[in-house]
Amino acid sequence: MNNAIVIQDLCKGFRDKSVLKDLSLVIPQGSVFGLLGRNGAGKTTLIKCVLGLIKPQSGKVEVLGDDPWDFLEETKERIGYVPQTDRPYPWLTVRQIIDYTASFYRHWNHGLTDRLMREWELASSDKIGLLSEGQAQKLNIILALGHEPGLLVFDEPVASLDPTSRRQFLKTVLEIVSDRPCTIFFSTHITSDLERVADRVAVLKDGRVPFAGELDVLKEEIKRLRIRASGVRLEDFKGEGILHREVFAHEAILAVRGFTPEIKQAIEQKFKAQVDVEDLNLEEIFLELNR
Amino acid sequence: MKNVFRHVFLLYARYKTFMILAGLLVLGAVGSSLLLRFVYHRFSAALLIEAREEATVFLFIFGVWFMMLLGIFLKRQFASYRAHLLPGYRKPHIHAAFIVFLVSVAAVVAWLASLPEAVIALPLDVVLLIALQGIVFSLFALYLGYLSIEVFLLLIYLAITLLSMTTWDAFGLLGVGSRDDFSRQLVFVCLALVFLLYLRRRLLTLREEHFEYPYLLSWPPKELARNQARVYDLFQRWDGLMEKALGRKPQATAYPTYPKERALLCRSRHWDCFEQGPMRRLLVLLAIATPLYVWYLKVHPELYGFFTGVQSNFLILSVAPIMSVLCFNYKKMGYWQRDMMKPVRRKNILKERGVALLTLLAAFWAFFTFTFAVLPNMIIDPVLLRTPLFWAYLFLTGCYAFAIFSWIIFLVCLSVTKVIVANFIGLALLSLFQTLGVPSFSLEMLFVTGVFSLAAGAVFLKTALKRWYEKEIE
Repeated sequence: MNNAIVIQDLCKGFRDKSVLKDLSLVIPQGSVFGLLGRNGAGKTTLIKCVLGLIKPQSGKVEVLGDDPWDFLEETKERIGYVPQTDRPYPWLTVRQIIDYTASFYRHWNHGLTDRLMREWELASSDKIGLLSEGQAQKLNIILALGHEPGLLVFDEPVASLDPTSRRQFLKTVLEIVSDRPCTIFFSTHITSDLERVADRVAVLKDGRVPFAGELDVLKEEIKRLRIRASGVRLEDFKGEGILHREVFAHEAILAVRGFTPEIKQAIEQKFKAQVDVEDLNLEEIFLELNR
Repeated sequence: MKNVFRHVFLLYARYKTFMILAGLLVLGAVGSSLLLRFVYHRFSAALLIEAREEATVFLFIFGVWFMMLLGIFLKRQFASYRAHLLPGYRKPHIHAAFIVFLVSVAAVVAWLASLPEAVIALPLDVVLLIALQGIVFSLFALYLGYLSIEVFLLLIYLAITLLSMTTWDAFGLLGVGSRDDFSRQLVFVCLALVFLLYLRRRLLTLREEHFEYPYLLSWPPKELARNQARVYDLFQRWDGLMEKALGRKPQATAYPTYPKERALLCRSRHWDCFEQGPMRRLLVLLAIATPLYVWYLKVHPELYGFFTGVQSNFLILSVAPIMSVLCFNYKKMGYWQRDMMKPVRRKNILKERGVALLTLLAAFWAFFTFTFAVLPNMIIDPVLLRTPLFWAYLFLTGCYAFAIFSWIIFLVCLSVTKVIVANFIGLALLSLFQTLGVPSFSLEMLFVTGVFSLAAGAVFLKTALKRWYEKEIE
């Protein structure tokens, strides 16, 4: 499989603060790739480096085989981007901004933009300056989809959308992926959305990526163990794979990364304990990775 | 690409404020040309010159506004991810702006060429000067956000120091129809080219990490607070160096608590707290610059042109204090909404803010008046200080500053474009009156005009207070 985005040893900081530290990440073509991270983890910085809006201090970024700092016109034709907030030219109407944006591209699917406008209840005569935050974001998404790009980059696209619009947005994303080859790279806080559409995820923590890969693999890899035994101490549970540990009178709870059935057996034998293995949803995994 | 150009031009055509201003310029140019021709055929030469001055100043004010709007427009187009990610984006926008610029310069030149020869001879340097000024003002607008706080004040101080030592006319800003000198023409051509090439190069390569990028969209206030924080971050580095040089530890600014029981003037201080860093920088600058200024005045008294350039006096004593107050308070606008949520009644907040602004205006007026009117004349012409006319004139500049400032406070709470433009025309006419009518005023006239300005300012303030009370602050 070809890769849409390749990031190698990327470093980026602002003044004394280092935001991204030797970050490496590969996003395969055709994947829906979700980027998770706490506030200030560097998600937006990473996206801006990927798009060439800011320059990395070191490392290499390649997007669709091109250097983001100096994208070819052809590469730009294949990229769509939705920032967190944007409200261009408040005096223009929705139709006017769509026509203006369309004029830069050789191909523009007016049928798609008209359909999305109808579905998302955006009137073509509405002034941009008078749109609500959510409506403005819907418009930005439409503007990014109109030229049917091969790579879509969304920076927290649904933060300002209501639940109905969020569902519509996710449905559109799934339709795009099923209709034609398209890579989607998006950051979000809303893990349930990510679970619904993403097939791969990366977790950004302290400027690095502790996990990047398929969502199912992540879910298989991180488990919660509920150990029922008396006399266990906190010091009994040490090791690289332990993300979190809590010990009560007759119970200990461990969050383990790199779980295998052998780990369970070893604990059962060592402490003569009953060990229950619990699956975690993405939100719980995210919390465990960020403790 | 042709289609792109059409859409870029449509951005201008659909921008109502831009079109209103362009229309005003065209109407002003055609109207003044007809008027001057009428005066030329029917009235005396003196009246013709007077009418020419009025028309020039009027068009100059709107021309500056127009060019600044062009700069702001460029900001909006280039401080965006679109400039980097939309294919073929930058060049059509730069070229469209350049065409708009050329058309406006050509319009001014056509206006000048349409005037009777007795009114104006049109040398090449004047044409080039007009073009240069247009570029300078567009550049100025491009960096306006950056120059928004104390740097703006420092630059005003330096510019005014220079201006007060020469005459306004020497800078050529209103020197239409003046000298025809080849060396000057060459300088103007070179400067215009340098500015233009710089602007083009900067816009072709402007990225998010360039220092001017975050200051480009300093409006609306939501963007303002974030961008101003980045501006402040830049200044803190300078501040750190200064503190290091002075051997002091940086101190955090402590905002005064709200004194509930005390007088209005005391309570207003809560809303008018400045960071210590900028104030210290200002004081250091004054400590360094003032002795130099006094020394310069002593060595070259002939260069000081007080009372010879009415426009410069107006700018220094009436406009500069207003600009300084606005710049000092510009950063705080981003926090208005939050301030409104403080446990103080809205009416009291507005009154206290108003008092804080007026106190600062009075302080700046006193500073500018002392530095640029009283101090130089103490050195150069002490006799002038004993004439009542001098003090009456200073009184009038203060009253004008109050009236214009009150008018601006009223103006900024308006939201209908047409009403704002109408008010701006009124302000421009008041400025015209100040620069053209005042030199011939007697002592009594100066005093009466001053009192009238004070009364007008009070009316504006009262109306503004009522409107601000009703205004939604976002």
